[in-house]
Amino acid sequence: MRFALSDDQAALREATAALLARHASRESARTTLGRGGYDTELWRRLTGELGAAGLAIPPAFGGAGAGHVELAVVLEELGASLASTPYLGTVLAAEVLRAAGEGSAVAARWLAGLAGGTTVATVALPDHAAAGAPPTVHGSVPAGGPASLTGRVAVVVNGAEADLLLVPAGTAEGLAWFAVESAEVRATPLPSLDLTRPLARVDLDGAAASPVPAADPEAVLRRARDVAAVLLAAEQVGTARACLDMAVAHARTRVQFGQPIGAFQAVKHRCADMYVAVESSRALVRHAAWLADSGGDLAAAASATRAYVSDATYRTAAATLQILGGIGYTWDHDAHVHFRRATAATQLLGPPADHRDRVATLIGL
Amino acid sequence: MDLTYPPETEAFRRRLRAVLADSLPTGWPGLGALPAADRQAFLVGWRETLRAHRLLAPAWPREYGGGGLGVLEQSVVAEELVRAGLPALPHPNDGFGLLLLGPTLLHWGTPAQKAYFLPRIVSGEHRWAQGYSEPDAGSDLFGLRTRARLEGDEWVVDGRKIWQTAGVTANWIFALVRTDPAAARSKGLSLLLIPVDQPGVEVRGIRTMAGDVEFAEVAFDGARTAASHVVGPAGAGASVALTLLGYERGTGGVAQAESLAVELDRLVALARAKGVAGDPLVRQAVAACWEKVQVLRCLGLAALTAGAAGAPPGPESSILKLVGAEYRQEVTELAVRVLGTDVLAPTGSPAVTTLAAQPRGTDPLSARAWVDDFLRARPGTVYGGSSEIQRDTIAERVLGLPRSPGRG
Repeated sequence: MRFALSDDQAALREATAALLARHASRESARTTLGRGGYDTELWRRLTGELGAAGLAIPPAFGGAGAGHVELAVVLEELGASLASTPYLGTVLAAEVLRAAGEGSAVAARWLAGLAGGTTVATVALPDHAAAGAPPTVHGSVPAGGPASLTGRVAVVVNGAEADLLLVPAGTAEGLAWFAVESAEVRATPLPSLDLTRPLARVDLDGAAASPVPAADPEAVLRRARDVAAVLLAAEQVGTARACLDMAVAHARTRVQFGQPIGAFQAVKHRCADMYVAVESSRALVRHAAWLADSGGDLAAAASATRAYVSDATYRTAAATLQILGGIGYTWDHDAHVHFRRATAATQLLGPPADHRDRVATLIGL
Repeated sequence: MDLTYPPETEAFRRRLRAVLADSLPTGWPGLGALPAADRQAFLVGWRETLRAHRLLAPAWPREYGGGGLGVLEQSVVAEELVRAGLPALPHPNDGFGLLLLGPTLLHWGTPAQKAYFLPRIVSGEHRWAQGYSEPDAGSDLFGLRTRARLEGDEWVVDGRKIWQTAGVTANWIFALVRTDPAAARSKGLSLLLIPVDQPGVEVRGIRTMAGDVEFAEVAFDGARTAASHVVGPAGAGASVALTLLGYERGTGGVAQAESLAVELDRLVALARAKGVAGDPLVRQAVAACWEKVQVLRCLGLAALTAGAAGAPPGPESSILKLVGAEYRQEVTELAVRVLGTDVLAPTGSPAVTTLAAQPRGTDPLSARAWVDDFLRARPGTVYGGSSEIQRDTIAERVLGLPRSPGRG
């Protein structure tokens, strides 16, 4: 029994951090900020050298057969860097395909490509995921004919970069999952507040789609949302950690009134609160990721993690701007990139208030 | 990462549950449901039951009256007692002997000290209080001025200690005192074990804002204790005391989170009964409380498993203290909000425990119990190292920020 990472998990963290330090430097990341797309060379290394996209995919499909704790480890490191990669969407798409059953043709067709990083994917989760809004895409599955999808998903992470989109859609038989190739959709890039996370509106107009068989498509959607909540929170922990490190480094070295500003309690107590926020958030994320791996009840833990980590990360990023003073408000400083990420990530899977309302219901209120 | 208790620990948990079930009346609803008039008699009997089953000091060696169990089993004992609505420390002084002094003696004590003091903590013959703070040394602990000098084979102690929880029922006190007047600050301190029932010691109760006499002030005027009653080397009191503060955080985090979950269930029941379960502000606030209980559970698991692997208490202990104390204020403030005008003249059964969440069985509708807890949650951010000191500790020891101006 241990809460700490295993030796293998710790080694994965170190390898990811080392790879990002070498190939996702601040300078290289800055060249892609806000331009859409992603660093394909970094993606190749991350997925090829490290096998990061296949960590939670079974070995039969070219993955490592590990789990969500490992995904969370990688995502925290990605969150701490400014790198733009389609990692989150790709691992979530794998989650949905695995839920379809490893014997299914659609899983067999795509999982190996996802594991190897040669296929970039995303999941077109409906708006306000936590609130359980009905799907905005409708699927038609004629007997004997090819399935097709029509509708719009307002915001899809890496919607314009993905080769493959996993789409939940309403059909005559209720909710169903479909796999759609990028050539079948119209993806319109959106001006993303988060400069590292390209977003797109995705329109489908009779798009040819492959049904993803699932015994309980609603359960797959809940699972995808819960896993997404935990994994995005893992990335947010990285953002918060990067902010804490920046703030502490500044507080140690910036001298005013003849001493480092970190000697003043008004500053050091802010830093202490940021540390508590990071440690608490990481503990929640690791615990929830472990629940996802061990078959525990994820619902309340996922939404609580989403809400707590979102607020904690935002507060940490905002406090960092305050500690940095004037320099933090400049475009050239990285603080605003993290602040934008923290703000956008808070809303991405539905606002914290939606998740808290769900927790309230789950605990009997 | 693996949060599954080992099979042998789960087997222990099952045996323990059977023991608890055998020791209690069928349909036991938890101590909170017992009428106030019956609680005292129950607690005396319950302490004897725990002692007989070696569950009072689960992790101490059996030769001293302990249970000889491991760290995980120690947590399991605390967890299961919380789930059953039973106190692990039935007497008000038990925490100081069983959780603080005992482990410190096991670490620092001489064979003679262990053999003499530990069994008497378990039997209840010695009831301990903690003597750290002084009227002029609170957060600045090492500014303390109580002195002790060796006179023949005895220490002679002069000075004053304050804020002794359960001080009025204690008959021994472990006190941090200055034994080398020439040494500065943290140097020259010693941890002495001093009997209270003697002419040189005067104990005065302090009534708290909650209305009860929970604290005491202890004056030493030529008080005496044997030269051998010093824990660790004379002059090493600061290190010994820090060991002790580490135990104050201890491995009880998982059980503490469990007790907070019991309390939050009671708040959910209160909100439903008061008809505000659909109020969005209440729903958001209750869910935010659940998040913090979950944080404390996770940090508790991290501290527990690190402790089981032999690691010394890490920075988790400062976080647990800080978050836990502030959480208790948040959740009891929320209860007061939900109660609304019911707090104007609080009625219902009074609280059972003074420094922790109420045990299972407590009536969710008892405004009196909620208000008791609301008032008693206030000092949590002050005692045992104030929240300001915890933040200083985190910033300086973990983050490496410089010491604050004016602090040596």
